[in-house]
Amino acid sequence: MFKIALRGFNPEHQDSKQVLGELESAVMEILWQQPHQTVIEVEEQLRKTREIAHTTVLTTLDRMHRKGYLLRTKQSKAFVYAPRYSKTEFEKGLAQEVLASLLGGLSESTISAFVDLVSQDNSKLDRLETLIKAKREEKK
Amino acid sequence: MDWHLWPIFIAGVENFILINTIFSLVSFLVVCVVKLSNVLKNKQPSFLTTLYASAIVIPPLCSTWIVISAFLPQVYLSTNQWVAEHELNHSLHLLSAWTFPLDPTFAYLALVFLVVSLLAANYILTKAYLTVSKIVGLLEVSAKPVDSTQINQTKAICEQYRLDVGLVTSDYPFSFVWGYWKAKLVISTGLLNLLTSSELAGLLQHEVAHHQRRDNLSKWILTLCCYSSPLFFLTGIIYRWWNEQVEILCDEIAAKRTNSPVDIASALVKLKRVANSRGAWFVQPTESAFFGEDNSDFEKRVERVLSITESSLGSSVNHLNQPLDKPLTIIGVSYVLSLVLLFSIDPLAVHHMLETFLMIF
Repeated sequence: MFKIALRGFNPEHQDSKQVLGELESAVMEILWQQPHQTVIEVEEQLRKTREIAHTTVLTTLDRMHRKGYLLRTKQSKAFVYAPRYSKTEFEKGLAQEVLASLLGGLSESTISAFVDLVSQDNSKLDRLETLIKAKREEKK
Repeated sequence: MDWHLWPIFIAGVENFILINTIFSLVSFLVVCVVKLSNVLKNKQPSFLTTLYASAIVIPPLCSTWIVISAFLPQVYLSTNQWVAEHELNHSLHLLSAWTFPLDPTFAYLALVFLVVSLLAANYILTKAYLTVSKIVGLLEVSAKPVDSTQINQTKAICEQYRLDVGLVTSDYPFSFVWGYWKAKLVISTGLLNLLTSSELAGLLQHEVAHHQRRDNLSKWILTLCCYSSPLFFLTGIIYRWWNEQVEILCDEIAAKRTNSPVDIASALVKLKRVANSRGAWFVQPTESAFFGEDNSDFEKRVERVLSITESSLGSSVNHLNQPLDKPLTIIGVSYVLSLVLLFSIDPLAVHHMLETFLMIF
């Protein structure tokens, strides 16, 4: 399963910077605004706000593709990049992963949660709901 | 540092590890027998939490006591006194007599294990604690406005039990108590919107019970005790069982306080349903039902809440809701007093007794 918080979570930052570096975050913002761009096009966008070498953009896009953040297709001789998830999906996924890390794993020993986030068979939940309903009826 | 004490220290650590391993194994076997036997089929969660916590704490606690009582006299008695009092074969020093051919390598390995495992456990716990503290403040995402009556209800119950509240503006329904001594309830607006007033009352009483029992502090102590033994994979299983029983116990306390177990069961199922609909964040562990968590644990928990009878509702929960302070004080005082008493009456009593006992084998 693809994990958004690959590099770990940095709570000091906001939004996508919580899991991506400064440059990676800028690349994601560009591709979220306009997906399917070549390396040259992304580079042009980045150069509006910073001095950057062509090889840096090339390796950054390649690295982000390998990490699973970007999708890559070949058109003519150039690679075209697009984000794997929309910005909303990305932030929702990030929130889920952060919550999952809060309510499980290492944090489990430091907090007491009402319900864990381990998945449960829906048919069993249906049976429990029937039991609860019956109990409420009985109470009336 | 006085380096002539180093061999005594090393022997002490080695013996601690050996004794703790044996005690941990015995504890695990005892707990397994108890769990499998029908005798405790309907035992109360309050009894089971005490049993499991004791099974985790007693091995390192007793091992430390034995090591201190057996080795400390060698530190504070003069050489002449020590030789005069200690007439037995000096090569026999508790369990390390059995690992003598492997020493000092084994003794150093024992020391490295103890230092690394306790440091690792502490590092993990501290890091997780600090991460939670940072994340809690940053989970601010757009969310639906919440009904002020739900917020007022939460504030009122938490103020009554002196529990701080942190409201997280998030549509994801979650709540947890965080903090070892001064605890804080972290609750999301999504959860307040999801539950009815009576379900929320049940959930809040459950969290208050965790706070009053100081369960997070217990978790910290038990985790350290678990990792003090090379058999931490076995003590870890007992820890999981303890954790399950604590949740059941807090459900029971909440049910008795609110007089409405059905609302607690309903809140549990609702939250689980939402967790499912958001996608399976955690895949179910593959361990067997006996050793690990499985689907039936959640069902058992809900069924257990629903089985709380009308007659037991409204009764006092003081006996179930014992905070950790009292047992910690009793254990600490009796630990120190017993050692002081021992050293003032016969400093080498335990040393001689154990060596005599070991010589039989």
